[in-house]
Amino acid sequence: MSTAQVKNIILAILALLNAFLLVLVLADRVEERESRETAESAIVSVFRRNGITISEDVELTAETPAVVTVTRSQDTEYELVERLLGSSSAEPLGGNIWFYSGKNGQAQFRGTGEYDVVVTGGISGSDTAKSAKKVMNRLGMELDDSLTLVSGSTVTVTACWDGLPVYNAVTTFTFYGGEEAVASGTRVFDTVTSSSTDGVMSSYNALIRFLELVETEGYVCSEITSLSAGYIMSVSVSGESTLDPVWHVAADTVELYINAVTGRIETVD
Amino acid sequence: MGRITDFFCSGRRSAEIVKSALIAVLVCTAALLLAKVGYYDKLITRQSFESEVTAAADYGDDMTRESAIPAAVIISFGEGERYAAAWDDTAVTSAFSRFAALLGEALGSAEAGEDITESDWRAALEEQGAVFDYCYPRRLDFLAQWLGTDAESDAGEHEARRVALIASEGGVELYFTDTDGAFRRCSTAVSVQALTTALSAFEPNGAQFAYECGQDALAPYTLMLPSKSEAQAVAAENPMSGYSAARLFTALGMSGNAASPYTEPDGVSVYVDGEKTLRISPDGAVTYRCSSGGGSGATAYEAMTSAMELVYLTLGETSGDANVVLAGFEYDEEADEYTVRFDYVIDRCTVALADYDCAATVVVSSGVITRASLLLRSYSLTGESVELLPMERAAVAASVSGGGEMRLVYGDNGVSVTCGWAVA
Repeated sequence: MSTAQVKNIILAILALLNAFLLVLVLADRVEERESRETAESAIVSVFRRNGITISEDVELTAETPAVVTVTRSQDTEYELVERLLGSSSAEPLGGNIWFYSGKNGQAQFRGTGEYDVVVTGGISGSDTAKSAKKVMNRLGMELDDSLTLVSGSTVTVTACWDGLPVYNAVTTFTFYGGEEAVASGTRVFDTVTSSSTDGVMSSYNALIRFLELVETEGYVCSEITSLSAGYIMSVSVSGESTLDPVWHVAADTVELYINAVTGRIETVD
Repeated sequence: MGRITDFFCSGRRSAEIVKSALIAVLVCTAALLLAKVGYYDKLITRQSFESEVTAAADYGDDMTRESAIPAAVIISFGEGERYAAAWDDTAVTSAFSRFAALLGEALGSAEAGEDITESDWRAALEEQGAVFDYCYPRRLDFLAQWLGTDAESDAGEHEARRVALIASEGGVELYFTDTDGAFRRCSTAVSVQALTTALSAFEPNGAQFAYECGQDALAPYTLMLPSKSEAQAVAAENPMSGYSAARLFTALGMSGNAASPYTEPDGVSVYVDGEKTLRISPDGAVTYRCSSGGGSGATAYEAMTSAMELVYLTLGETSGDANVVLAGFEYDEEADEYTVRFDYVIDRCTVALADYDCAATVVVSSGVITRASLLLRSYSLTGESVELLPMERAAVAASVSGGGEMRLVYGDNGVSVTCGWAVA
């Protein structure tokens, strides 16, 4: 058999294989869409039977976030501090608490994720929200802009992980005009050691869980206005934290943060 | 004619090049479509399972985390109101998770402490704070390491059964009761706000210490939790049927090939590998002797870690729904030996074994395990509940029999497991 003939046979086989796989993929997509529509319809129907409507703005198919374990890296932390404060000295205070002092201020970081920073230079401008964001970015954190609150010279920001808010990773800034600011809050550690979606509640299950809680806790509501995913950070051992996914379910009269692993209500201040 | 031939030859070559390119493209698209279908996910899942099996053999942080969790967490809100999580693994673990990092921070940042009176201790218990009752003495330097820090202050030189974080005007203070019954206090760098935030997750549930509710016959810091009315029913079995001695060889560093077995009249299998002797009884009792040390010495933490690893690879693999926790750690300076003891616990309650003081005793000399006594047992939660005598009535019965510290205990007589209030 000549090379050309062999190639022809291979081409034919590959073409058939691709066609077969394409049909499988398309069938998967159709099945996925159908089951999604069925689930959405079922959810809406269940809520309607319980006297609750779901706003059309609610995205029922939000992606399920993973449970993430993040640890503190001393080296990374030092680099981030130097990005903010300039060349800095580092002093251990015991208990995994580190004190940093640099040209542009001082900072104290704890193994619990809490930190305090006094910035005396390197930031400027009258837009305090922008300055706060700059400080957070230099400390390696992205913000959820929708959760930024400005009240006079005080700015409260919420850190993000993978685009989702970490509801209890909140930092409060107080600006003293010019380039000085004091910040206190909780930061998300920087090094991922594991990530898994095993056992994490989907958005549909979160809504069902919300309905259960409405019945057991006696809440009264008539419309679900939003559904979004986020995280709650818990530090079990100094320097090691878990980002537990939570579903934020908001209704017209009540909003709950439902832990996507345990189903319990989380408290977010 | 030659030009026509050349034309057809070059045309054929181009066609072959196109075919090759097409083959390459179709291979790539097939690979992409396989990914879309999820074929690679199944491959990765299988590999993840395999790596989990490997990871299980590395005891890692499992036993240290278990030993860092107290038997009870008692929250004080001030003015005598308390919340307690005790005799309930889920509740205790969940409650402690809010304080573990803070306790580690406190142990690591504790300033040189001072001796205080019992009145000072009781006054502290009236303030906002959290008490961690370990039931067994804990070396605070070990506890700090398990919680992710190092206790480099003199707090680390103490052993304590009860450790407390108390909010005061000057900050958070670390209190503890050491094994001599003395009370001690250290200032720490833990922020009051962090502690009060952790405390705010709880509400009073009627918990009290015995001295607060007139239970004078009981040890003063016995936890009284009136709401504790039932416990989980437990079954026990001998895990030796089907148990392979090879697992013990691996854990003890004995060669499976060199060990020569013989069986004694009472059914005990004896394996000898040079200076190492292993005796395995049909009822799950295992004893190990190594007649020579030969080690290069070990720190206290290294000795504890060696013992923990052995127990994790033996008791930990067969204990079922029970956990194994550190129950005691002693050092004999003259013999340069560490004796490390372990107990089974279920739902944070000690399992009292008939005929045995504890589940495992491991002796480490010069960094080498020279003796070990293990009792392999397997426990399972039956899904049913056992109704308990109300604590007040149990306290009356305890006072009649002389009083002492009353706590919930599982009793394993080798046949069945019971649960009830016991006085020590």
